Amino acid sequence: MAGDPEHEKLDDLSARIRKAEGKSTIRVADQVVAPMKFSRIGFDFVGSVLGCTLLGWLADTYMGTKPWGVMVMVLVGFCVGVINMWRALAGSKTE
Amino acid sequence: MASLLEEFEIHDLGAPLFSIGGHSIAFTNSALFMFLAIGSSTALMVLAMRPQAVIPGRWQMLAEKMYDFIAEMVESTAGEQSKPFFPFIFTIFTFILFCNLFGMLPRSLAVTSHILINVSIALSLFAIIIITGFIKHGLHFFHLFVPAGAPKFMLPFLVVIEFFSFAVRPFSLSIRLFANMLAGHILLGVFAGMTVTLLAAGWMLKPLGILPLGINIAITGFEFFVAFLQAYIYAILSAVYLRDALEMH
Repeated sequence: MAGDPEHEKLDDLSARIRKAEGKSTIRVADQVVAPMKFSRIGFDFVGSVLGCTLLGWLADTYMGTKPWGVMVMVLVGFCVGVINMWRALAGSKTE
Repeated sequence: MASLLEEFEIHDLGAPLFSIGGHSIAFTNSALFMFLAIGSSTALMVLAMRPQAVIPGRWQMLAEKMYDFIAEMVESTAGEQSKPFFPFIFTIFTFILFCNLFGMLPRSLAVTSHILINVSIALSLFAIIIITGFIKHGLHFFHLFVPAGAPKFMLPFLVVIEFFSFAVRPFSLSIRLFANMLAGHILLGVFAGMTVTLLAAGWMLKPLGILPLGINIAITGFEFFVAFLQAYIYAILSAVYLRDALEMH
């Protein structure tokens, strides 16, 4: 009988812990989801274009494919950027 | 008046120390702030955890909170097998966070506003991801570039796109942080310059100097938020890319 209040307190505590752990870690993301998500997507696009351009420029410099390297890679960069944006916005089933 | 870009200049503090490949390496202000970031974050974690109390005091709670924050994020994003990578991602997060925060001090250099630092971190992250992917999956790792359920005739085109989509990830990661930090500090500089110009103008324009000052105060607060947010985004995207390499198959 004397142990019952203790049991109640511990049960209450464990119930509260379970409820608190049930909250997902996306708590932070919920508050900042809009700027975070869209800034990510925007920078992914820009980063894709710039990164592919850089790869194309490197190919040009070291493999002498001027000027086609940069030109092709800029277009590839746009394609890659659009595909990444699509995946991020529409939720991809493949990745 | 000082130029707007002067705060991003790297200059040597002292004589050159040694030389690599014909370039003489000196201790620069960039190196100083990187050492400050590493030293203060290490000191924070070591000293805060020194009591090792079961009921944590305030400093210990801060250190444990930082640890738990990133540990939960990594585990929920990248799965169980990602636990060995937690120290790496935690280091990335802490380093970027402290570098960003130190950049907010007046007259300091925001280390992460130089693309080289960010690209170095991103490339080392991707080296680790690629090496781990090959160790774990062998040559099967190349199936990362083959999306499931794709029609066979489109495969060459898709593989090329997927490959470049993977290859630009370190660049997008580093450019995001670089652009945010650079733009933020330039914005602060622009409005500060406006304040000084208005205050130095005729008596009618002087009271208007309060406006860019107020905007500057708001932007400073926003920059602190961006410092935390960009470090967090960097860490969470590192975990996502890690998961792609570890669990794609």
